[in-house]
Amino acid sequence: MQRSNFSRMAMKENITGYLFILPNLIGLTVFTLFSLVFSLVISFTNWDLVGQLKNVKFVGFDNFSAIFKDEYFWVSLWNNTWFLLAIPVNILLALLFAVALNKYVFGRKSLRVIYFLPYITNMAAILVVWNMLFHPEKGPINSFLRSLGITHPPLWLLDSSWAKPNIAMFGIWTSVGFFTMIYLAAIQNINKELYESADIDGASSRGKFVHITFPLISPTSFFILILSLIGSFQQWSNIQIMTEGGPGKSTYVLGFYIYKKGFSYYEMGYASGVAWILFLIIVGIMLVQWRMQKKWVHY
Amino acid sequence: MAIKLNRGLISIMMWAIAIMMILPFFWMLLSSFKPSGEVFTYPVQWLPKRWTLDGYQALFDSKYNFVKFYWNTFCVAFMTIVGVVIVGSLTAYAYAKIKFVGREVVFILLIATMAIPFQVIMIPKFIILRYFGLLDTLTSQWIGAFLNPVTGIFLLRQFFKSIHDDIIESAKIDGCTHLRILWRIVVPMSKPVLFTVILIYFVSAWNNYEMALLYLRSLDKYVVSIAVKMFSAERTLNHSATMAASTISIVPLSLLLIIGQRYLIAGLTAGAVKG
Repeated sequence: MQRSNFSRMAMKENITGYLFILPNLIGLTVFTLFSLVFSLVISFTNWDLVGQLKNVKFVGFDNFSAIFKDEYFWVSLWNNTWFLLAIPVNILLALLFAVALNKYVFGRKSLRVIYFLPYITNMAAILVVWNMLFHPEKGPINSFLRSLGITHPPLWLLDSSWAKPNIAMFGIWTSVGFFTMIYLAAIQNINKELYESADIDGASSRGKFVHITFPLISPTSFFILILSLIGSFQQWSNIQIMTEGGPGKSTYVLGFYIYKKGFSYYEMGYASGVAWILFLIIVGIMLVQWRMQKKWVHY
Repeated sequence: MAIKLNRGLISIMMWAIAIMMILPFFWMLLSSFKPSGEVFTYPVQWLPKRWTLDGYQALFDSKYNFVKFYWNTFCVAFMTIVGVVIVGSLTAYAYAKIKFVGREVVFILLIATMAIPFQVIMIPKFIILRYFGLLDTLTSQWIGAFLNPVTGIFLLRQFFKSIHDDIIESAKIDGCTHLRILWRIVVPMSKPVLFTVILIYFVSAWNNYEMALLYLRSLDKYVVSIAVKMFSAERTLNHSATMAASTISIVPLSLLLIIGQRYLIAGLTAGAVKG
């Protein structure tokens, strides 16, 4: 009698549990899992959105061999790799700012708001301003540079050598505050007693940082590194607004290439192929990082 | 003495950097009050020689009805928050407090899906939305929040787990169903974390550009982020109007940050760390 009551209660728990997560499960199944499979399948077809589904042909690996022969693909890959250069700069700055904000400044609360502001700013709206600031002829930045005596300041987004650095600068400007706050929270979480006992032992500021702070925030560093890597490879809307991949192909990135192929040229099959390659690249990078974390991340 | 000098020096540097970081916002704000011809001058001028609302006038006179775009954005943000709070609470509560078979496995699957890049999903999502006739509707913008508000689920579950089981158990003994426990006991206890989740999703709904670009087409469905971009692309001559458009897009969240900085900064960074 008691046992059947118990199992009835357990059954009720099971049903209730699954009912509660049902909306989310539906969403996961429809949007995520189905999308995953669907995009893989259409990457093997020549679907271009127009026309009936039944006219779509399987083309096997044709899309993929076309992708690997496509100059735009390799340029995009190269540009994505180039953008990785911004990551160490970004993380280093965030760490320095966090250390400074932690102990060495006046007006920390106001500074926090100012450093964080670019992160929550509407990207499309502020990019309009950014583009105008960096306008090669009329913009304030170049006016200022000219007043310093630089007769030919960079043409920024109109110059294939300066477009990527400009975009990288924007990326750092918008995300350094966010990473700084994450680091700040991690640093403030460190047990003060560790520092106190280091002081008793006569440790220098540098020593304390190298032997206490840095190792203890290494999980945070790892987390920020992963976020940066994924974000860097997935970026596309900033490119779409700033340069549309130009000048030439100098700012084409994989994310933007997928968007262009899928939503401008409607080559959905091809675009899905590139998307899956991007997915595999990201998974590969994460696996490498996962392996390497044993060497430098302390838990 | 040496410590004070150090602190002073570093403060100066940090403030100098802060001023440089905030300059674009100042230039935008001040330029929106200039006559269009004054925006680009050599040498650079900060304060308007003549303060004017011409930019804003041109903005609201144009075919771009920013009042409508504001309204659209608010609707999307509102529905997003409703979705996250309802579905997020239900789902998080189940993962935290209801013991059902396979709970941990399904949860890990949920987490795993976060690794999938948006690019893989964006094309099939387009197809699905088209199939259900949801393309070019505001619904396409907030439906994701109803179906898979991952960050919200994560944060809420974290918090719900910290609630003592005794409270749940004694309510069950009193005959409460899980639903009642959730809405009558757990949710009222969770106001801080709910507030944080609402802030996080409000920010992301307000700033969202990518989903709007992909799934919206008609002008009257535009949200603020898309509208600003389109407006600036067309109105290349009226610079102060462009600055005015950007200003009204950015100011609400900036005010939100200044007022609610504690919640907003803590919430967004915690949401990222835990999520």
